[in-house]
Amino acid sequence: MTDMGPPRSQEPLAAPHGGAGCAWGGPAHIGPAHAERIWLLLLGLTAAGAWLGETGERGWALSLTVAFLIAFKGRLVIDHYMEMRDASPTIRRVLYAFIVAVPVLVLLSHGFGDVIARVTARLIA
Amino acid sequence: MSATLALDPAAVPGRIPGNKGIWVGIFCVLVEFLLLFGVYFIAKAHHPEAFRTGPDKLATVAGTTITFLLLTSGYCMVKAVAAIRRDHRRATLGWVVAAIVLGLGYPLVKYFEIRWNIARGIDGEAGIFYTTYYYLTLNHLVHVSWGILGLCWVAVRTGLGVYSAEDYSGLEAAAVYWHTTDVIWLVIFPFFYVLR
Repeated sequence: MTDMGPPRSQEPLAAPHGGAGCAWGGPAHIGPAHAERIWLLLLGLTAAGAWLGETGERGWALSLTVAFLIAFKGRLVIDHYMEMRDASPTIRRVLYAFIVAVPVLVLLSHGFGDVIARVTARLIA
Repeated sequence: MSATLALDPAAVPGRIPGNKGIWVGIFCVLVEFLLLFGVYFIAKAHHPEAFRTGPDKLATVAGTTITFLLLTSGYCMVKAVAAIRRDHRRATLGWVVAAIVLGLGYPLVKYFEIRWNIARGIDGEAGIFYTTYYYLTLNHLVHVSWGILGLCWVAVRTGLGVYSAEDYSGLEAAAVYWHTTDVIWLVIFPFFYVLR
């Protein structure tokens, strides 16, 4: 594949630094030691989601939790796996928009499912 | 440029991870799945009862295992990119191969999940919830398959010594595509196994 990004340094990587910092206080870029923490956090949140799947009942609490998990886990992958915090702002905004739009749709679907059904039924008819 | 930025390629402001071409593909995939999620929400609005009871019959353990596999495979690609930045080519190849092996666990788990479903009468015609479930999850599996093929290509090129600390855009492009399939699965998983 053609390299269209900026030139890369030939220097070895420095130890993970503070950078701009992320929402929960970790460094902006993933480093060798930082990667494990993010990975374990993602697995833990997934296990929590699975537990909810086995025990959760339909309601605002479940929808809000799912919306939060989608946004938070998505943000972790985008910021730390994809290293988007300091990357192209256009690409970063598109990715952030995706993980904001879906949780908003989850909440709208829960609160206004009947309205969505009415409007779409009218569009189809 | 500060000393830190000179040492850390990921800290170069405004950089494009991988290359521009892969991002065109990634944006197309995001739009495609947003449309499919629209189908999910419309179907759910019209059939709330089917979507409330539907997840009860699916194997949550299968969805959870797939999530673990994808997230761990993604972690391996993070390590692969970190290794090539240090010019550790053998370590890079090891991480990419590990990512492939874990990624291949996804179709394997999906195969057993579908067999388990079929044995319980849950096929594509078992109801609107399950039709949507098969439509979205199999579509995601197709995109993961492209990702696995991309990782195999990257593994071969890593083995041939094509990538180095100076130029690893192809490897990074495959990595960001692979992470995109993670992000999309992190949406699909709660849609069918958690949300009611």
